[in-house]
Amino acid sequence: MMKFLFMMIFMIPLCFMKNMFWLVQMMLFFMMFLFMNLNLNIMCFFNMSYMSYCDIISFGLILLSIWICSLMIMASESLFKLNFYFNFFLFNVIFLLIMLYLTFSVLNLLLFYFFFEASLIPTLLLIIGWGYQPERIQAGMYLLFYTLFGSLPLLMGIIYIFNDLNTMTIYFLKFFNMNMYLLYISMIFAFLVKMPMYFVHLWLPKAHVEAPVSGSMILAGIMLKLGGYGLLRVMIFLQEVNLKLNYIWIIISLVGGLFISMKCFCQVDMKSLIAYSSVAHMSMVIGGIMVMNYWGFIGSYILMISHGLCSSGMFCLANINYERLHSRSLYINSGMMNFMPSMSLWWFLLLSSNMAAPPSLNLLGEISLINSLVSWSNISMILLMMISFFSAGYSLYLYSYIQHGKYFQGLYSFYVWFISWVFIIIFALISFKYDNFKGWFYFYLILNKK
Amino acid sequence: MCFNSFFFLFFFMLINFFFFVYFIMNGLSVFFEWEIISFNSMSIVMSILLDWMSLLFMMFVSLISSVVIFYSKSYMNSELNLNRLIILVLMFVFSMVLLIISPNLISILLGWDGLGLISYCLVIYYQNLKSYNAGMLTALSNRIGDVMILMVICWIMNYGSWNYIFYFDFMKNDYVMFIISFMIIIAAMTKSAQIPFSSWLPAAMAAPTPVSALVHSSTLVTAGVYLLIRFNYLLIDMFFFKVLLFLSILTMFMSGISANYEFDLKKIIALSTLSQLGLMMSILSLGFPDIAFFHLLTHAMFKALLFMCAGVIIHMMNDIQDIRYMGGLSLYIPLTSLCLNISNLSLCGIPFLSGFYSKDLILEMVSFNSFNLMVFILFYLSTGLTVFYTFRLIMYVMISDFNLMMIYNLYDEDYIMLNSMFVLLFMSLLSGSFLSWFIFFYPYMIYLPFNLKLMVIYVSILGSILGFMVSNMGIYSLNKLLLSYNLSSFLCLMWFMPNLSTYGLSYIYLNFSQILFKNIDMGWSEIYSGKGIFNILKNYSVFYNIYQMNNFKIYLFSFILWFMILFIFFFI
Amino acid sequence: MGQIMGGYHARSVDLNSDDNPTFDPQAGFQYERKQREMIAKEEDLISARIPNKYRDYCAHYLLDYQVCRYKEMPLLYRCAHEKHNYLNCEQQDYVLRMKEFERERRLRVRENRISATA
Repeated sequence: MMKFLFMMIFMIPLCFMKNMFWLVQMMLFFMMFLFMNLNLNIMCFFNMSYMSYCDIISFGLILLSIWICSLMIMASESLFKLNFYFNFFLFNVIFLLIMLYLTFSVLNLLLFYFFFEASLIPTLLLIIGWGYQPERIQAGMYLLFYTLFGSLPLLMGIIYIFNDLNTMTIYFLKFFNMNMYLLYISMIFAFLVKMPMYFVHLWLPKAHVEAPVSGSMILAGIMLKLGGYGLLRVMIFLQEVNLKLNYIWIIISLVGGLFISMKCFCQVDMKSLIAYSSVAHMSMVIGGIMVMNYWGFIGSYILMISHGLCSSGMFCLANINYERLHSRSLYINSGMMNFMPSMSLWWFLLLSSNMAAPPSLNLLGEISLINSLVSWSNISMILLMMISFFSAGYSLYLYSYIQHGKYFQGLYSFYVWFISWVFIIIFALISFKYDNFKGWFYFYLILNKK
Repeated sequence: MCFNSFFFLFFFMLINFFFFVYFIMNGLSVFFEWEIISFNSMSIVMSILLDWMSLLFMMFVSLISSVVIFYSKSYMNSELNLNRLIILVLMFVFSMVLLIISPNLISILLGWDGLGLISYCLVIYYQNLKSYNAGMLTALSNRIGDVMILMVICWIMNYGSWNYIFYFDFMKNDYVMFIISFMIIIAAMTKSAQIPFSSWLPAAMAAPTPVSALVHSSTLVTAGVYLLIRFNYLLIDMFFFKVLLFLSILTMFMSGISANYEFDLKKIIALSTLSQLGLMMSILSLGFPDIAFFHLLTHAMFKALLFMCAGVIIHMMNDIQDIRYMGGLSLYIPLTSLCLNISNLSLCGIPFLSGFYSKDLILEMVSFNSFNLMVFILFYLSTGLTVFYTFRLIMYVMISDFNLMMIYNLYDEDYIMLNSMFVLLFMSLLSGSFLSWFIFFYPYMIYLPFNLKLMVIYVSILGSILGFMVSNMGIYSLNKLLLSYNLSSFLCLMWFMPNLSTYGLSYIYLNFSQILFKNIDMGWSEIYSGKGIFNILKNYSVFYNIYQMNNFKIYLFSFILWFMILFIFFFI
Repeated sequence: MGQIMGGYHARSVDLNSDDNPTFDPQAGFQYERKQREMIAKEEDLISARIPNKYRDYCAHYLLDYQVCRYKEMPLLYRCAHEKHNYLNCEQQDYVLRMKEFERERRLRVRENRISATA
């Protein structure tokens, strides 16, 4: 594990040398393949040392973050062509990757909190530094302050746990059972804001829309999953309180998911629509984690990974349109099938994955989540039916609006060249599906050892 | 590309045919299983069930799709992106095959969702506004069924696996099975366009004609009927089956009436498909799944043939689909009008064509067993209406005078299209008797009084006479039409169901989502977080600015005030 | 459909279509009525796996038809003779049951008339 950390640290000087843009991106791909071949023991934590470890959740999320960071760099090659501070951009991305890697692999809760907060800084710099509109300042403020507002109680909670239990090792926490309501709220509120849950989701549309493509990709891909990862870790010792109070969060997130799916229909901005659909998916993930089922955990993990890939892909595609037409508005971006028919295929594949059509990984996650949520209560069936139906509605709305119909008459000039990296996301979508999931049963045992 | 896929599908059809005969002779059925993932004692398995029903249906599907692909080589030869269409059609056939062979709900979901999405892509293939709207309507109506099947997957998890065929005999009176049967019936109703959801089928005629021949005549719309045939042992005593009976005979009746008012060739054929689907669903809900299956197969044959003939006619009429412009075509295109006639008469149930075997058997079973008076009347009335609009169509298209232009090129010698139509013609003539020998292991005994037996013929003759008369009479002229304007528009516009599915729904939801967005996301949520706190802080800062910037002594005094408050609270 | 329209006469004496006969089978007949018996043997029916609702008094014709189907497959038009025999037997069975129903109805009407005058 240290080897990857050092590889990333030593890529930092590489960012500042001349003409190293593609080399850094290749190095990240290389690191991804190296990481994939780690000796993965699914039953328990592996590669344990004083500070860091890896288990199946961390493995998947670190893999996802390395993958998306390398695709981020590939997507921003226009920065390289236009020579717009790409050195600092590369440094930002590598720094963010180091923070994320450390977040997912440290054993200590306080260090986890430290890197959790530290990953906000490079994101903020990405949004403010390389974003496009003047509204990005407000977006950066919203991102930062929403997350900080939620996570300061988390810091208090962690220090209280240290005072009480004299340990902050995540591995040991499963032996304890903290039954305090205030501790519960303070621990999970940060992750609910990060996820985001419905009422505290306002930072997400702003941040996603104002961020450049790399910022959007990493936000949609990984930063939302930090909240899910935190919830999955922290629920272990908060189970009793959770069973008393989880109905609040499930109801807010399910009804919120329904409302968000309906709000997607009146968005004019492509990226805003994709951002709201992220909130709708994450609402189901929150529901799945909160019901404390095995199926709920599995479904939320699968949906987190598949949503990371799918949303990042859609942001890339939205950026492709943006680079050519310099507008994200749906009115201007219509009829694109006439110009870029191959992009039409990618839009369709990613949007159909977004609405959980077979054979994508999203379908597996959604089936698991629907199973777990309906087993919690029959009435959530109605909400879930409407969320699924509306997600198909807005995905098809986006697809048919962008691709079909007449194109906007005001297009003057247009250049088309084919970037061949989006299909790698698709391979990732399908290849992740056949991971070895048999070890989940052992994970369940570990999770519920009391 | 066309020829390759045609040969592949034809070969696949022959394989299916031989296996079908072998399996039905020996009463064999084969079940493959492959476990994909196992979570916590439930396994997601990919299963394949090959029994005679699935092999027969696969044979028909692959026959029709191979013929349709061969036909579209010539029909769409001016299309630049023909490969795209052929690939979409092949993926559609693959999804349909996956649906047919699966005894497992997860693999049915794969096929079902795939069918819905690919039919969306096929309907929006031509990029104009009408296709766009039709595609959206198709996809969202089918999506309701998909969501219902997702919920069934979730409920049937209670029984431990998703292979539904094992649970039917044992769990009939359970509450869970009650919910499952309700949702399965709604899913089948959306796919087969029964009454609340029937507006997508005429709208989906915006698809290219070969696609309509494959999708909307025989495969997509029969997927719902096939699912209910598989689930029939579960549903037979349930209350919702009677609701399905009611809705399907109303569908049959309504679409028969609406087809009489239509002037678009493809819409008439779409409404006739809808009428026959209602017939299939109603005989299924009366408890005869094998007769429903029989009618499904024979209907597939002659409806696909009818669509292909319509395609030839549309090509010749310079892409005009309105039947008022056509006439007298039997003199000019004898071979195509041969196919058109035989498929039309088969649809009506003229003796000894293929449609006769299935339709007549259905009507005789309805008369022989004691059912409702309304069921009886609507069945026979719909049969009469079928003959009515068929003969009206024949009069308009083939017998009247030619109405288009003075210069015309009515060209029948397109042998690619003709050969594909002849294959279906051959099957449409013979498949009725052929299937009636194979499918019915235990023959049905029907013993009817003489006039009841001939009721079909009376109704058919009445319908044909009315059809001939109505296409000559001037009741469509303006002064007579306005007398019954309300009734005519109600009957013509499919009892206003398209309005229910389009204007009625979309405006409410879009308005509501706008209200939600403005009031919650950009309203109260902002006030209670972000903007509200910003305003509070700003106002307080302004206040403190005024307070601090004025009199220095007052500012210093506030420190002493604080000390006194802390002293009081913590030391007393 | 005649079952509905003409069913008034049966419903007025409380007779439904799935009721069993309640009177003495021999009443009113000059000759001796025989009990109907199944000609097909039970182990033949079980080994041919015929579903329960088809194991009636005409099952021997059904077994012959199934044997002919298996032998002549796929040229099934050659089994028309066996199918005709089976359908004839079924029709006669149906007529017999209609007659039993009508007999039951008339006996009840007669009983009502006798008890009304008495």
